[in-house]
Amino acid sequence: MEEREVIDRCLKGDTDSFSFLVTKYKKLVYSIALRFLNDPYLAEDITQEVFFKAYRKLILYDSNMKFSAWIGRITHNTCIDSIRKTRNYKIVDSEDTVIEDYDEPTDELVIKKERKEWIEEQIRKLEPGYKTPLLLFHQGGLSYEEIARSMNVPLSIVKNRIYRARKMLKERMTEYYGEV
Amino acid sequence: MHVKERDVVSYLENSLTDKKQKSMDKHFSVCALCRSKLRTWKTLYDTIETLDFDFKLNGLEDKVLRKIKTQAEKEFEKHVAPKLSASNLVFFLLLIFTASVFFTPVIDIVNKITQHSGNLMLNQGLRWLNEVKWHAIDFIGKIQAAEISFLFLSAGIMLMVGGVYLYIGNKPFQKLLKN
Repeated sequence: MEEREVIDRCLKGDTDSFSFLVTKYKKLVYSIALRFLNDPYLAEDITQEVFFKAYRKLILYDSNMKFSAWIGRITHNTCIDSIRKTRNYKIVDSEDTVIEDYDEPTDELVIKKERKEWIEEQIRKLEPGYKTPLLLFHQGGLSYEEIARSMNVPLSIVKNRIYRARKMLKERMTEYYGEV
Repeated sequence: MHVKERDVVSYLENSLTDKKQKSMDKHFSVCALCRSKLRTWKTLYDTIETLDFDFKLNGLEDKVLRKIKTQAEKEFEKHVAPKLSASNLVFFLLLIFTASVFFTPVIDIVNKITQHSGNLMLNQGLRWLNEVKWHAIDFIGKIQAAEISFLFLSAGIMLMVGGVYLYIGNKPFQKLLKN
């Protein structure tokens, strides 16, 4: 089923069709929310909230924009609102929410896990304005143009923010692990 | 000359022209410093790619749909099927009363018509027509004597009182008063 068709159905009152979009984008939304809120339970609540908001605002969705870009912006705004309300920045171990691949050798797995934890922490530390575009690019698979359109900022700003985010991460990585 | 950091990023993302991409390939093959830069950036990209994405979010669809449906039901109750509150009841009673004041002369005539519908033969019919005529004259007379305007005035006052009562009964207005 095409996304456009699903959206049309939802707009005609077929609420159940919306589950298609939830299934398709829940990981992206949750991924952004988790990196903002550092709490898997809160991130899940925010994910629900984001989809609820998206459903209610579906009439405003511009089909020239990718749905992932649109929902990414809603997630970004909802997370910022939530942080403002709760001022919650605690770090919670989210191990139990992730599917691990246990077929790899243990030492490699340990290194990989350690590096993954490190990058998770660094991403969490990024400013929201850097974090969301970076996640939309790497996890949402969106282009710079799509991110710029969804966040309603010029393309140059998005490129610059993503570049600066990566540069910060690269510097921290070099500092932490030494020259690779 | 060494490769700029931004160009390394563009190289990794394959967003350079073929010519530039090839020239950078060539440079990396001879320059150890730039090769090291490329390796660091590549490691960063690979590390970002390890970020968790395959989350278990079982049943999220049901939760979202339940929330949407519950909210829709609440809104339906609020906007489409309002509960019969005391203020609403008073308002509707006032409306009915006002309507009956407005239409009493008409209702009278309709009553006469229905009462006499079976006796439309000659005398009865003529008498009935005569009564209708007098009712009509009486009604026109009331309008001319501005008595009807008193009815309109009282009905208007009642509508206004009902409206104010209904408005005071509204929650947003009560909140406003509390604040």
